[in-house]
Amino acid sequence: MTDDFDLQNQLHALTSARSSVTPEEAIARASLSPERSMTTTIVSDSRGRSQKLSLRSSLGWVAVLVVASLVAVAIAVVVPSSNKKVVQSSHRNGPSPKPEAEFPGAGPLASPQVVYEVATVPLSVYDTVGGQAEISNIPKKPSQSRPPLTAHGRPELLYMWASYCPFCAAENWALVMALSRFGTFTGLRTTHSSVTDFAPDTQTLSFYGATYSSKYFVFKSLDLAGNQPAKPTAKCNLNGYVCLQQISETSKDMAYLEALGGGSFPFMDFGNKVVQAGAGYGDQPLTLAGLTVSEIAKQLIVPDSSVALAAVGSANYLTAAICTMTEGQPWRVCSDPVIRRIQHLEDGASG
Amino acid sequence: MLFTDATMLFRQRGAPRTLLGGEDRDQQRFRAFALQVEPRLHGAFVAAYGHELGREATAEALAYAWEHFPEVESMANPVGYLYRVGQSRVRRRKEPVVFVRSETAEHLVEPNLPAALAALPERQRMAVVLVHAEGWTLREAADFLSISIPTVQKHAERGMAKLRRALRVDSKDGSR
Repeated sequence: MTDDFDLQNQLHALTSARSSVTPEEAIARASLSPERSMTTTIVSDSRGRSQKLSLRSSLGWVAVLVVASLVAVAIAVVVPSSNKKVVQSSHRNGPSPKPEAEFPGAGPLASPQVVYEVATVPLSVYDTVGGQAEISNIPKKPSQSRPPLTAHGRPELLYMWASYCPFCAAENWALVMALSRFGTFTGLRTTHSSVTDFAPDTQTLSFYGATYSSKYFVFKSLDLAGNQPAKPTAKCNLNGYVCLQQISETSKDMAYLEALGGGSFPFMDFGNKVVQAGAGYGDQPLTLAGLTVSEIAKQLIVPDSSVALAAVGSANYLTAAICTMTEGQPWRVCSDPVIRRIQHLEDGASG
Repeated sequence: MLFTDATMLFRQRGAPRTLLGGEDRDQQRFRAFALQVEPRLHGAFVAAYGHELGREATAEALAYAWEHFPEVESMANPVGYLYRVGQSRVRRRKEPVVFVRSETAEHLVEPNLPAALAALPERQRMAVVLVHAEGWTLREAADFLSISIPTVQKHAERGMAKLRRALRVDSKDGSR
């Protein structure tokens, strides 16, 4: 027989027998998923890492996504665009990848395993690689102050590239990694650079036909040319390669490419706050030579591999540039000391 | 091409850790913050959801705190705010409230207590656990639950009465 005092002791013994949630566990949980507010499903991890992304009840989010899609459709119908007929952006707010028929020249969908491996490179790898890769071309402040580049009320990251370009192919790996820290891709595809150019047949991921969702900014990718030579009779070709996402020569995107990127790509404009013209690591395509998409993805978590040093190092610089564009949002990414240090370097550089 | 001295140093392999200057001060601040709020937050979630889901809600709330630390840190009542964050993260999970006797406390806890506690209505269970197990004052519990002190007292008394009946415990006045 017990009394009230003993009952209180029992209650205390029962409820206090719990394992505390450590600060480290909270930080790790936050860093596992770039968009914690979105449903993230990871099926398997062949590398045996113990990371586990939380699976959320989907019904509520399905409703949210449906509403968001309806709003996106409404915006697309209502908002007029002067370049509507000639600009085809890969950015969409809807979550579903479009059928390949809608994107002639697009490569096959990347395997979920590869996308997962690239999107979940551990924070420890980013921090170990830091900025020590052979990054010869870091994002810089534009030489002239320009009004912020925005879309739908959010900063816009404009990326202009071409599938045939080996430097773009190399840069895409870093960009997918960096962007995956701020949002979620759907429908990433695979492609390769020209088989006759420098570092021929460099394997990579492609944004053409993919969608990207982030609550912090809008990502607009323009894949200007494919990796196949254009036919002599083709109405449009870019440096001899078949045109993919055509833009008007008078569009503001082209104006930025000319004014800030010197007309060459890969070109990235981080909301007009920071720009990068050219690949971060000039020899990076060579480090990828002969490797398949799957082999490259697996190398990304080996911090001392040449692939990780180049791609992860570049990703850190791009992440820092995105943090500048988003003014430090989200804090969990942008407060990383490695990113902050690189931001200081980029702040001191001007193009 | 742009190389400052700092860039060149930064590029040397094996050097970045020392250049970064050890643990980030923000992480240290968050660690101190989390260690301070976790016991109360976790206690409240365990009272509401039981051990397993209570821990999950705590972890979710603290992860949110890390993501939004500057805002959360400056709040007057971060525990109350984070409690609602955790609630929203787990509220769609229709999992039963389960209390588990740990091996170390097993000899102290009546075998029927976990089930009896889980069977209480949520408000009564929270009042009982916060006041009688976690040692919160009536005012603290009332503020946290956004109800009046007499209401907390009433919930706690009714909850304790039910537990007494379930466990055949002697009450303060000797009656059963």
